[in-house]
Amino acid sequence: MTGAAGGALEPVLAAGDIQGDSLSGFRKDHQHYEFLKVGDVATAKRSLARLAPRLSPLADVHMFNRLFRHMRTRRGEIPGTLSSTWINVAFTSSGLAALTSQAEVAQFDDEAFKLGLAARAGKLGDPVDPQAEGHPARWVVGGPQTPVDAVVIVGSDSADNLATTVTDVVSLLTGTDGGFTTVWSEPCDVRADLPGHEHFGFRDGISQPGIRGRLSQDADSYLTPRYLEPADPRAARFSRPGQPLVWPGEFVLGLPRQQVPPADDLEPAPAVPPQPAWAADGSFLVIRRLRQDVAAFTGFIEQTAAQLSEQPGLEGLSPQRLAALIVGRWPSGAPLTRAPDADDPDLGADDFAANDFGYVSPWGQSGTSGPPELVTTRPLPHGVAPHDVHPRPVADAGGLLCPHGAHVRKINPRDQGTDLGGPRNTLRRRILRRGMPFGPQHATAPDASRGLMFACYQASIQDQFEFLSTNWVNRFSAPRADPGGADLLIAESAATARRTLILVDKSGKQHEVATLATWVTPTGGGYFFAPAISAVRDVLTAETPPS
Amino acid sequence: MAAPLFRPPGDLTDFDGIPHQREAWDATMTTFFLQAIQRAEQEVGAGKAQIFDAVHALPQPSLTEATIIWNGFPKTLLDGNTHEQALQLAEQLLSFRLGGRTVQARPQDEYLEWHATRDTSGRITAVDFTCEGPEYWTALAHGYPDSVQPGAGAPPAKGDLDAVVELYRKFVSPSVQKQDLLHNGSYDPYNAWNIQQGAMHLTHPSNSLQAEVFLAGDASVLREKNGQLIEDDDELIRCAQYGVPTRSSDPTIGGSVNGLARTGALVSLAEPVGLYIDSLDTTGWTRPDGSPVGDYWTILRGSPTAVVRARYEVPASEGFAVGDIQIGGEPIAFPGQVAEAISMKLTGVAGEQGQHAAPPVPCVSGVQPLVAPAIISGAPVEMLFQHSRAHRHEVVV
Ligand code: HEM
Repeated sequence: MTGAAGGALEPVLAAGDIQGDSLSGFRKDHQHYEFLKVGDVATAKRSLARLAPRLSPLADVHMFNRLFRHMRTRRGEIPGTLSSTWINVAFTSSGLAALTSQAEVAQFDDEAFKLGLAARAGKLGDPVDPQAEGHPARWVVGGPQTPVDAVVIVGSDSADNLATTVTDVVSLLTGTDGGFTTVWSEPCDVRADLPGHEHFGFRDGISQPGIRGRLSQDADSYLTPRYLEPADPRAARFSRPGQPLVWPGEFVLGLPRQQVPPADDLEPAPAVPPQPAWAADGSFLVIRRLRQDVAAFTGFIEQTAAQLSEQPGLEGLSPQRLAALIVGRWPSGAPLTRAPDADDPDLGADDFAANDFGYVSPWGQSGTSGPPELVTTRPLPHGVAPHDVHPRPVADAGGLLCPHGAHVRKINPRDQGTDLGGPRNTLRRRILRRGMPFGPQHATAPDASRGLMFACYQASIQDQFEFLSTNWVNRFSAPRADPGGADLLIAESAATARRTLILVDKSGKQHEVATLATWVTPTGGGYFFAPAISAVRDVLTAETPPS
Repeated sequence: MAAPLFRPPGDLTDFDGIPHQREAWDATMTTFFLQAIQRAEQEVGAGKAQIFDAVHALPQPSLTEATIIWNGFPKTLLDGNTHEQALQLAEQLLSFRLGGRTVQARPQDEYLEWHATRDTSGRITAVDFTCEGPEYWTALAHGYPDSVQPGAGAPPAKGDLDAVVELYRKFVSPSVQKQDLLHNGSYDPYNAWNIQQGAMHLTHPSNSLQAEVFLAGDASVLREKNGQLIEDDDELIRCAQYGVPTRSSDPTIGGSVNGLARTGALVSLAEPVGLYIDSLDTTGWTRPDGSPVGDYWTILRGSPTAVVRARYEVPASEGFAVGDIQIGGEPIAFPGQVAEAISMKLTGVAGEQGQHAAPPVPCVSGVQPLVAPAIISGAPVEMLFQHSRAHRHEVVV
């Protein structure tokens, strides 16, 4: 059977069973992370059983997100007028072992998950000196002194609703009949001054993979709406301009996966039966509490830009442009291959155009010479123009416009081949990012702690989050070595022998931007597994562990 | 001034004392490049190939370099297996028929091969890595690689089998005897000291220098489909059928070379032409006490920028062995765990950008016939070269 755009029919997802944050994302202005430790196991199972019916499935989250999108398109900004509150839960390997058994956990095919984030911190490049702030010994949550078994994520459009639900859930789980204790609570909010931007001032959450899969037997009940005119040669592979489609088994266990490249990924590779069987429809969740030192970042940028701007070839380099070269986008989100010299807020405000670019081919797919035609039957998201009239992207294989070391390019080289072969391999390394800023904005409380609650879902922590961090972010010469360069935004100096970004000027001359200073410090987190709701209900809360 | 010669891989000096040996190596490499040029010309027309012999070209164009990196552990084994299965499979030798006998070779096909030494308890004590092509070793033994038949005017090099034996004694085992290395009186790349007991040079049938040069040549041809230039590495290797598409190396090398060619440049491989170990990344590797490991990586052959042999071994003074090291909490139980942390490289070069753009040609259809009869030491190992033109043309006259 074939689907609408010519590929294989996409699988029907267990939308009532998969927890919604993974595949749809809560997308809330207010979110709360409650990190928990299991105390008395029998009590913990009983309180978890009471939580299970309240967990938010993909179906609900997706439906609300769609409604929200439609209303926003029609009415513009609608703060506070439409609200829902969601709850999801995920467990570390120690949490699952407490609620089931070591033998169950041993079956997971992910060493990273089984060993846990703190044991892997050194591999991720975190400091090896126990005195350093970034060392697990000093983490506020998830370190050896602050072990975690579970995390409950509550998200809401309304701060009041969030507060009510959090109080309720926390008292359910940690009250006298709860069986859990709180290790750490983290409230997160979008920045009031710059919604959608992280603390360094850059818009985040623009680029996500499109997930294949349907919500019902209807041929076109796609989880990820398809905005490309079916006649466009990209329609079978992209859900939106610049957003490639990925088979859902790359994010949720037990579903069809990407083919081994270069085989055509219009057809999926068959699902791998998960181990243990109850892990089906679950997803691994990585949470990293990353403290951001805004003063250190801006100080470095200003000082370094002043120095570099005196070098022939980089004359006039502004601090804003240097920061954009490090991130790979301007504060508005405008990408460097479409806005090489200055920010372009109009481009940044158009979610489609801002993500429609490649590095080898201007539009990200060889054989295309302009933006795709968009369907006229479906309302476009807020801010998206029906025709992309922004400056066209420019091919940039050598990294003259967007350096190889720029954060977004380092972690997603898009259509450019890597040390693993052609670009289709990169689609098997993608993650679903769900991070939120924590702490107040820098301007109002410079001395407060702030940062990014980085969170991402994937089918393999080892092959996705860890691979991206260890093999690409932290290595100077990967994914590309011509000329390569380090990700100065997030790579840690414990990991990289060369914390050096390479800038290539218009004449092709290379300039090194080297520093040992860092502005992103890990201060906690964990490797979690977010099971299907039925697994929470039937397996984790069962009095006797599964046989 | 003497004409320049192709340099030996890694600027190794083993040829230096052997009469005519450096000239013979130059003739061999010159032939490989000539063939690569002919293969490209079959596609684009005489005189239009963008691959060129950068050593003998006159006048010498000024060249820019592009380093190409890939991971050292076989991606073909990781795909479709669990991580642990892949690590196990990487240690299981392949058997195949060659010239009427059954030989074994390693399944490690990213131009990096290794051999682990273990103690009586099975704990790994050292891992030797090599990326030396078999051609270098057959040339050192007999003057020319097995796949090359020198014509009448070729430099009369005869190699030095004793030098081969000495190197095996130095790097593999002092117990190596000359007889051990021979088959029917000639140097045998599949000898036990190079396969079961050690790793002196590459053995996987796809891991040859000639294959690398042919891959670069084939990839220098611009390709089109439905009138559109192909720029995507995956599409390119499907279209041009160079190399093994599921490896990390071949699509990356081919795609990068094609990217250079798309700038309208002459393209080639940087001297000394070879495949090299770029680096080992031991971030997060810990001693038994949890502290970070020291530097236990010793470069044994090649130059600092062109490493062809290295060993990972903990010095006795440390009081523990490689098998006691943990990577992010996982003990090193397989040598492949070390290989996974190794980046391989080769360097492409481009010159006269914009002056040599040949028009793109359509995709290769069907299976290409061999360009000339095989004169290898045995029969070509067809099954191992499926999907691969560059690796199938194991032929030199
Ligand atoms: C405090 C730390 C971090 C900051 C400030 C940060 C900031 C950003 C920004 C501004 C963008 C551009 C927005 C977009 O393309 O959606 C971005 C993209 C991205 N980031 Fe981060 N990030 C951080 C940490 C991480 C980490 C730890 C990872 C994963 C290991 C990561 C993975 C990604 C990915 C996959 C993209 C999308 C790239 C693309 O598809 O083009 N980020 N980040």
